[in-house]
Amino acid sequence: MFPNLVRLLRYRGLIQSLVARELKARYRGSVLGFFWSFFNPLFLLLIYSFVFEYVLPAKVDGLEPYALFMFCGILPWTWFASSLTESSNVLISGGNLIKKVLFPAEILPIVTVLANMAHFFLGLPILAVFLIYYRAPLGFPEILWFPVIVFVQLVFTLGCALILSALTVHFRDIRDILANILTLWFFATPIIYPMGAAPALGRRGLNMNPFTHLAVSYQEVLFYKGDFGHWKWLLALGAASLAFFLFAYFVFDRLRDTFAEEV
Amino acid sequence: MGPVIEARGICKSFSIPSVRRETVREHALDFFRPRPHERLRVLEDVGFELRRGESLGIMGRNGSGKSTLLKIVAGIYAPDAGTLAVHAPLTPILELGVGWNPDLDAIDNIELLGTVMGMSLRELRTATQDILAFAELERFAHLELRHYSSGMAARLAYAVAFRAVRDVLILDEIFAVGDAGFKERCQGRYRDLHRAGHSMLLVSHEPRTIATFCKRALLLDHGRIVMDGPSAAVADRYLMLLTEAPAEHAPAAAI
Repeated sequence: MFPNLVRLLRYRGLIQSLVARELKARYRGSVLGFFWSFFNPLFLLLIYSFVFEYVLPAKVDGLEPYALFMFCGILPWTWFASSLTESSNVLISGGNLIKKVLFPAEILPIVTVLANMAHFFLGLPILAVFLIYYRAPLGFPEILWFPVIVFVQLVFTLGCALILSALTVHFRDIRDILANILTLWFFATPIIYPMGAAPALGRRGLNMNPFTHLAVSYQEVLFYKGDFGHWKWLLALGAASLAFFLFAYFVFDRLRDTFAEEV
Repeated sequence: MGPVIEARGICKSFSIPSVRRETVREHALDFFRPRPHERLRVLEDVGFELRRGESLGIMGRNGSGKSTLLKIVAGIYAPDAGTLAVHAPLTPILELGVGWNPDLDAIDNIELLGTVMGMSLRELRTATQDILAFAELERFAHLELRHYSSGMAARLAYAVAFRAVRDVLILDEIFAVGDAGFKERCQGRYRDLHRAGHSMLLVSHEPRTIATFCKRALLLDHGRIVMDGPSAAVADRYLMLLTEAPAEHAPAAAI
């Protein structure tokens, strides 16, 4: 397992070229091209702003403006959810690469996660503009936590993507189950409601959800006033994610020999 | 110097489900029952050596296990039994154009195909023009691949593949595309690589190809090596096999 992990480093160039071509191909032939990466989140944010300021004015103390609060959680969630949806299918759709070329299969889910991370990054300028427009209390020391949160999410997402892609080869039903799980997971995460709104029992449940700590961390660093008090949870999640990633890689590595025959 | 590839006692069988569940009811009823499987033996006790600098041919009818053997040598399938020792970096070319993207132009696809086959980005930066020139596609460098004819696309894939060769080249059914001129150049490139000291493993149905490009060849039949000798003699024996009874199992090529 560890020699294989080290071997991955030699495939940096391949990963880089696959991610770049994936991003390039996605918008090939569309007139606005990469602009869509900006426009999609912008449109989402405008709709939320309109709905929660005029249609259904949400006045919760400390959650002003509400649309911006939601956006802080939805942007990373989109990265997470699309990564999982796409990686559950990636070994099957990329079957030819696994069957016909000497190719470490884990590169495919990794590329999926990284390409979606690139989309996440492209959405950040929109977020930044709105944060400045609404005079969000961006503190200097807290903002340094932002890359840490992104890194923890990356490790966690990679672990999920590796396990999902490997298991879907053998149990194709996972693809359909996953869509439902993600819907449930979204509402079980404090993204469209604040953590504080949950009753004590619910809060304990939310704390079991790894993505809760990512969402809350993003909200505390980007949206809320005051210090980043959630850092202990974030670091704990980071350590757990690292362990989970190694476990996921182990599972993937054990199933590796079966891929070429099954896909 | 020792051989670059040593294979001993390689066995491989695939399990194919013998009963298909069609209806939802069958699925529901049979879910917890183990599914009956049939074992299809594709390779039995196959052993050979590829010496350094040698061009070794492999012949056999459809379903004789040629492609499976290549995939095991290339490390794509794991053998059920037997040992395989590979002492040099391999470049398998089992299918052309694996991993290309029809929405991207030739330059981007050269990068994709090249990196998939193990070239580094730095190597590709200097090789891209050569590849385009070899494929005679300089004029279409910025044309998206889906506008290419199949012959043009195949030429591009060949050009990248030949450029990506590391040490040992493993080829499945080559020299099959392009016009006579391009075929000629592919064969020329193959000879150049051989002369430069690369070792080759070449699978073909075409007795003349094997006799021309290999000194020694193996003949596979029903998953066993039935002959190992001078390529001309193996090609003759292969032609005799073809006129005999047809192969018993054919589906192995599809797996």
